[in-house]
Amino acid sequence: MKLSALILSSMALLCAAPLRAGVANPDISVIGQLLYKYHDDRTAEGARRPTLDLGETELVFDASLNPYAKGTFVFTAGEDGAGVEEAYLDVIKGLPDGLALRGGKYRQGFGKLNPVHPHAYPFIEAPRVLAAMLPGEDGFNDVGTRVSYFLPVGWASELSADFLKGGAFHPDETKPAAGGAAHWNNSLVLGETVPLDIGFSAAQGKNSVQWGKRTAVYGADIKTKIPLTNFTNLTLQGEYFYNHSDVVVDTTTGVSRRMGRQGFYAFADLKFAQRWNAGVIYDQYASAGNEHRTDRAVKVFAGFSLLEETTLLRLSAEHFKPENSPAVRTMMLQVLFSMGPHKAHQF
Amino acid sequence: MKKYLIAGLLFLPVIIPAHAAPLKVAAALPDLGSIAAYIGGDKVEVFSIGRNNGNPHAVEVLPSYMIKVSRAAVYLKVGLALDQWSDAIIDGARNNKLITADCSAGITPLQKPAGKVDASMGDVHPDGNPHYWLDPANGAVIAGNVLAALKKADPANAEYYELNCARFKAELARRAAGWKAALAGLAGQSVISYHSSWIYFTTAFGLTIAGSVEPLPGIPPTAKHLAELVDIIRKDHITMLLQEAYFPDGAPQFLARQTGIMVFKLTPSCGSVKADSYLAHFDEIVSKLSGR
Repeated sequence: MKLSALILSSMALLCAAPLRAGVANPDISVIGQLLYKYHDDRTAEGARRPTLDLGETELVFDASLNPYAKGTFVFTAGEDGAGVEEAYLDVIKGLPDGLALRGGKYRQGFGKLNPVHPHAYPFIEAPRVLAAMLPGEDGFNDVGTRVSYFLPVGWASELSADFLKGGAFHPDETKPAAGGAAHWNNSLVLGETVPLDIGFSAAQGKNSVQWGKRTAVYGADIKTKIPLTNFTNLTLQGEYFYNHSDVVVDTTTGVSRRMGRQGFYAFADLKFAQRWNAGVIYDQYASAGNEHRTDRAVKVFAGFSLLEETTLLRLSAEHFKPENSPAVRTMMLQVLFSMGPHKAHQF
Repeated sequence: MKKYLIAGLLFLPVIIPAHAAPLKVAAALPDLGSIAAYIGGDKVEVFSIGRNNGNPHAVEVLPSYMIKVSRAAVYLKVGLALDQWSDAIIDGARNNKLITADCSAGITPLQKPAGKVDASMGDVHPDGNPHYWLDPANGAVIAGNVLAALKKADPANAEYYELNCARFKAELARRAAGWKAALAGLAGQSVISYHSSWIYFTTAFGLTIAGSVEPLPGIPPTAKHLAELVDIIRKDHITMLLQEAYFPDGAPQFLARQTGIMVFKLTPSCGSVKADSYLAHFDEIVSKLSGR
């Protein structure tokens, strides 16, 4: 509540403050995400009745701090409360060529989906495998410092390393224990028009500071977008994860067991008209609680851009089958509405 | 003697200056790149981020663009808030030595909105319509901006660039006179455009835009709006519709069926960054419109 008041008062101050020479207000964007949901999971709240949720409202401020650095703040507010999702500065100039620095709280560059805010996905929710495999309660998001560098090779290749506070690995503990992450992305353009990204990621941190137990996650990702006509295209994307953890099974003695789990998702998204897209996503993974249990989900989705990009409608239907448990079906309709400057579309 | 020969060979690369590598120039659109290629000649190597078959308002930023721009000496922006994606590419390129030129500097923008601009007006550009390269007179202004950037990046060849820039302007003026003569018969006529890309072109050649398929910039047509356009086309006897090649055919074809209007599917940008491409693009548009 206090944070919401702080955000509102900051906005009021920004709008009211007279401009000094050379100083301008930051870009401000607000994104609303209205969500209608129906599911038949009797173990969860709201089964077999449609619910309407405001979802997370996102407030983004970003601007140049000086000729060398940019700052970004992302605040989220929803029925569960408000918080700082991201707050970081990027040093983009003044360092040796090809080098960049980021510091603050930010979504880690692990794979393709995790660094992206969910409203920028072509579907409503991230595939379940991400939550099952990556650290963090709402995406792999931690306080840290990132160094990234363009490798001097014949294709577009970037290596980044994150030095993390490590809190995403042990959200229930207050005592800190550092973690780390790395990502290597390679971008090619096939035949001048088909981009292809191939990446590899790794992250490591302590899942129990008290007992010194570790989690390591490794990943590989691939993405391409095939243009079909001047305004239609097909996006194909997939990620593979391997999570290797020492999990404490007795909290009084710290006895642990080693657990190795793997999972993946793959989706195809067809933009078949100027304002329409539709696709299918499949994900499969070993459950976080039991590596011998394989959960599977298949989801079909469609999107319609009502006018430009400021108002989007998204529909999805998911069939989720946890092993040895009844299937859960979920239907969702999301209305995304945004105001503020249009940002560049990132591949 | 042999020792001296070996020593001489070792120092050869120092004594004989290596052939200078061409200056890498990144252009937001092929039109700017083509002008840079004309002025830069064999001293530059030009590449374009945007393509002529894509919507220049919505270029997707690929990591490979950032790497290419990280190795460039000059970046030519369109400006007037058309290519905000250029800023993401430039920031992502982390190139301390990059010289960025806004090619809209010195252009007199058309359709600059008065007062407050917001999304209820569609995708309006607060600084004015950004499709300025479609007026040949603005081609000369772009050339001046490109020249300044090349001279700054490579002062040793300033004279060479100045000479080529003068040649480009002379060639542009000569061919513009021909384009005006070829389109003289259409002067005073009204046309329909799909998006607001053509205002500089029509103004330069004495045509008038009586309406657009988009009711507001960037906003898809509604049935009601198309019905209004049918009335305008019939009432004013409009015979030409200029459609950007990257927009869907549905609405223009509907208008063609209803009114018999001729649809000219054109790309607002030239096809490549070759030195003659910017000029050849006008040749192509003029030929299509005048030879109908």
